[in-house]
Amino acid sequence: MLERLRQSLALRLAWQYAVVFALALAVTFSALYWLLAGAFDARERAALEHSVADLAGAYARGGLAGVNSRITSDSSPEMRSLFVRLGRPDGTIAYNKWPEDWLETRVQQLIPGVSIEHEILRIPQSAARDYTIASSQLPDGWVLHVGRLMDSKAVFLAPLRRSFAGVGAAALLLSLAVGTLLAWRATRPLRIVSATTRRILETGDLDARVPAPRGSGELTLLVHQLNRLLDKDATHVRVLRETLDNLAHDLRTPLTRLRASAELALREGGDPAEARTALADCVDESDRLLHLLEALLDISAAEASALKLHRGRLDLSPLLVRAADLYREVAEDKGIAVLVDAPSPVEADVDAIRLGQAVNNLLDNALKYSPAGARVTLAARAEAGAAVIIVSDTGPGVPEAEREAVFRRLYRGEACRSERGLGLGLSLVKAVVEAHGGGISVDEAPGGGARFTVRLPCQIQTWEIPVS
Amino acid sequence: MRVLVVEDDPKIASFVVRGLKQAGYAVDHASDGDTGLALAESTDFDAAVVDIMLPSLDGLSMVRRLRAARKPVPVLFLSARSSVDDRVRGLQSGGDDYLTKPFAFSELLARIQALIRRATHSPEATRLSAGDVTLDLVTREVTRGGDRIELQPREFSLLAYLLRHAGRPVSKAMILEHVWDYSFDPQTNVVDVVVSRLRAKIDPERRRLETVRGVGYIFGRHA
Repeated sequence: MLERLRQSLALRLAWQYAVVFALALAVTFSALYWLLAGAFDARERAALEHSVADLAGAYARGGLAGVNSRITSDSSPEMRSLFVRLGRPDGTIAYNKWPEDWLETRVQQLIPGVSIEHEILRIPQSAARDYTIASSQLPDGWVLHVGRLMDSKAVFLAPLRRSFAGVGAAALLLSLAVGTLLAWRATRPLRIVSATTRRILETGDLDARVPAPRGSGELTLLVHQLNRLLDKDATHVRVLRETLDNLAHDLRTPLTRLRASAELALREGGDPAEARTALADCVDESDRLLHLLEALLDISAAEASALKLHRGRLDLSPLLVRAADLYREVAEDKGIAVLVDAPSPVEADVDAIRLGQAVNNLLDNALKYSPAGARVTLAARAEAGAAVIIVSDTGPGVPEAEREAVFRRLYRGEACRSERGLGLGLSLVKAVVEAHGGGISVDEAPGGGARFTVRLPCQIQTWEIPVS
Repeated sequence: MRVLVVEDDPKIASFVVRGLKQAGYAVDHASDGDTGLALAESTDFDAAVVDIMLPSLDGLSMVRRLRAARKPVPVLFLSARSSVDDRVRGLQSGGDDYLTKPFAFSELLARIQALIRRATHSPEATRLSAGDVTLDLVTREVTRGGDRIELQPREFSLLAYLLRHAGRPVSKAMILEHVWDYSFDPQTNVVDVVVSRLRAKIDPERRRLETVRGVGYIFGRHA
């Protein structure tokens, strides 16, 4: 459990988020602290330099006496707390004023008359206070030192540091909590996906789907795609199951007949001629079975997109002419006229043999169900983005209720149970057309009869070549 | 007549060898491509049945080498699944005909007979005949017992094909290939329809053009 928690994507995200947040906070606080310290320093320096300038001015106006009178005339606490000394580098001291509380030897050791230039010298007195000394070089060789006891920067900024630490810790905790919450919420779809897939794996429940989250983010997309994958899978499994059921059903009848014929041939003392006929029936029945299996394999391959198509760009009208030619005698015998209506070339990227087979099957179908005197038309048209093949007849047509069903494998319409056939022709057509990325539909031809429309997408690429 | 069978599947091989022996052929069998090639190069066969998928040397390569060695023996390829690709490759590498498994033995026999006939006969005569039926390929005249008979183009082609193989059965698939130029079976009854029309014109007594159940048709068996 602990390991799972440690591995949890949500918690890992939250931790990473908190670490980044803490780093950002630390950088911000450091910058702020540094800026504040700098500003505080600048203010103190300005105050001290002001005093230095004041006294240097007094000296310039009235010499030593001027300085003395400037100091004695001002009884303000600021002036009283100042350390002032006029000296030379050789140790001569012309004026010296110590505030009562300045006992620090280190300050006394400060050599008089040495300019500290523009620096301010800080000498710590205690943990909380610093001696702060500035100097000024006077024109006649004397050096003026002015000092003051001030709060040390560390002490001054201590409350700030404390509040920074407090606020920082609180913000960090808050960010960790909020981050965990957000990450937990963001990864919710993942947990749902995981739970659903686990359910499918454990129970084999192919109908389980992940509830679609709102929005259109990456995870929503993932869920949608997963659901589509599951849909497709379920369809495949269902189709496979149905195929097997249908196959078993459709094989049972011819196999039973086959067995009966073989039994007849084996009957002892029978008429040899009869036995031969029975054996010939066996052969016919096996051929029928083989054809059925081949057709079913083709359909399955096409539906599973495993049918190898040898596509090439070609005009569809020769396919129609060839189909009409193949069935010429059959149509003549039935007294049906077959017309090919393809006035201009209609090009598409197709497998000539497979699509030819599809056209043959459509024509075969039309001839089978049309009465004598009927007319069957094979037409090809180029439409926007599609090549269209239309096979229409003037026969009885397909009842509206059966229009979906005629493409199902092994489906035989109510009206055509008597006709010979496998019931696979149209489903093979549909599978082949769909393997080409196209579609097929059936409706009523103008004036009655069935009209099958095959629509094949044209991936015609046209390049505009400028004529110069 | 001597036929070479190169097939690795023992069941199919024994089925083909036995059938051919029953039909009166002398048969040699090899179960891999190298042995088959050696046999074909050392002996003159009248025909060879070669499986495409073979151990050591596949059937296509075997026949290609045979052709390179200028051996003109007619070859019938066998292959597992009907695919246009295999068919084209088979014929390109020097095969003369092609049959997919599972096949009927009678179909195999009919095709071998057609191959041997084609290989041994002199350039085709312009007149074909069987019994009292004659067909002139140049004038396109057809007679039965001296009476002239009018045939539609497809009926004419069918009769010519049947006459070329007179006395031997031909399958529906063979007819589709040679009369309609369809190399795959469109699974229709178009052949039956044209056969019955031809029969009505040329053989109203039903003596000449017979249906061989499970195989196809035979013309002039008793001529």
